[in-house]
Amino acid sequence: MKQPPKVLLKYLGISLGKGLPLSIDFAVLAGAMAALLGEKDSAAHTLARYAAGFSSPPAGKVVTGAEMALATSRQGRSSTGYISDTIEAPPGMTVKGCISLAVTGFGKSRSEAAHLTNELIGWLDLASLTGTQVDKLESSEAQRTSMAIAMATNPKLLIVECPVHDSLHAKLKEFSEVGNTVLFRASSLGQIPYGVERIALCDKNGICRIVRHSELAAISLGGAEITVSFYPSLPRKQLENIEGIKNLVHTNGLYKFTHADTVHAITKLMLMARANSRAVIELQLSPIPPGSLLKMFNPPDESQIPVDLFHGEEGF
Amino acid sequence: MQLIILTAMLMWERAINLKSRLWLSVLLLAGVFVVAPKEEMLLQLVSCSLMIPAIFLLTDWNGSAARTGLLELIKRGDKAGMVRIAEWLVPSLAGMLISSIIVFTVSSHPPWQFWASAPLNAVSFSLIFLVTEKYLKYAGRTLLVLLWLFQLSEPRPLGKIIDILMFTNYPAAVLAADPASGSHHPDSFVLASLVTVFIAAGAYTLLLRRKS
Repeated sequence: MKQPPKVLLKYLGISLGKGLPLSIDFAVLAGAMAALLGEKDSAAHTLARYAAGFSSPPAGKVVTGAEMALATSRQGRSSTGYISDTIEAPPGMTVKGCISLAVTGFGKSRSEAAHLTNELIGWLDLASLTGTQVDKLESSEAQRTSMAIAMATNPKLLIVECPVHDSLHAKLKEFSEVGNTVLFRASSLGQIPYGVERIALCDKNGICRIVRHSELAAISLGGAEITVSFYPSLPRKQLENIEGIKNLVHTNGLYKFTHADTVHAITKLMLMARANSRAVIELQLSPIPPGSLLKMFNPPDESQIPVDLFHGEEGF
Repeated sequence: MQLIILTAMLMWERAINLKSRLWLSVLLLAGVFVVAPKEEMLLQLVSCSLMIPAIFLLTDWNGSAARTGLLELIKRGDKAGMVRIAEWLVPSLAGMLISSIIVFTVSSHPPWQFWASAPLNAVSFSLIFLVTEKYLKYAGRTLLVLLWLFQLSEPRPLGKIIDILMFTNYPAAVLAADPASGSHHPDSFVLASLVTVFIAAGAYTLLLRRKS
């Protein structure tokens, strides 16, 4: 009989502080990759740390692993690994020393530890770095070493701080394909690696929307954050007439807005400038930030907020 | 075992590279030669030798990069407790080793009470020092120096009561005990050491283990 897929991570009734609104509940299945997307001041970083077991939320709980243990419990922590490009290790410790120590800390005997350390070094192409001190590693090398350290406990769930170096993409995909889970924490859509199915969009209070990667990509595809200024300045009302304009902000003669169709928006801006005898003196294009991405969805409607923990998840 | 040895090595490496931290050990040692009465000097040296390794290895160890990094690497495994065991076990063993060597210069046949109370005392001191380093830091070190100088100075007010309360003095007191002259029986120091180690272990578990 076909077994239902296991859940390896659940955020349940999380609130980041007293009186603050609850974050949407979120769960990730075994064999899936998901992402928490939010700007630097959003809750994405905090939520990632909760999942990694560094701290507990003031309200609600985060459970991890096949046994659904609290993320901060011993069982929860041993089923989770945390990958970033900074490694905290005793001063002067080498790459091999760190991996070996992490494996030893998991209770392996000396011969088992040596065997597993060599396997991890080989799998993550760290052979040329074994004698290098961890504080002298480059970002990509530190990330691979961090993954080797995280893998020492044979985790079921990996929490990864983006940006992720290309050399790790295949390894993380391989890890999830054997029935494990990877949760990325990213601050822009471009940082999220290929293969991530669901993205939890985060604001300051937690997860506020769960979308499929394809859905988000479709909304932001061809879109951009546009910054423009005219001489002499143009009234705001003129820009508000551009169809599809979102998040319009006017400060000191500078207009900033997002638009799902960049070409259309720029054509309109140029025509508007010519029609009003204005000159475009500044025009900048940049990727849509996560905060604005949220606003590009239809205005929040209570009936549309997903109540299903596995919204968008294949297999359910 | 590997983790205990590694922790000991990291503690040692850090301690010898931070020579400024030696001042506390030197101060306690100097106190013995300057303050203690001549006839008690060697006995107090035995007591002091039980504490010196803990002070040398554990001063500022709690917030050090070596300890943080070590715990960070192994915290997801189930052996993190070995580091915490090493933190009190290594200084206690080192203290016991040094004091055992010194005690034979004082007495060719140390009483059995010494061998019972000295290890308990070394463990008590390591545990208490770990707790004070975590919560009091400089205030704890200053308090330790003052208590040590008070213990060495003669005459002490409330001598007999203080003798049984000053746990750092037990090894010397056991060696000097002479019930015929009205001092405490050496057995009472063994009992007092036992009580102290229970109190120290309780404080350590409640204040340190629970929060880390």
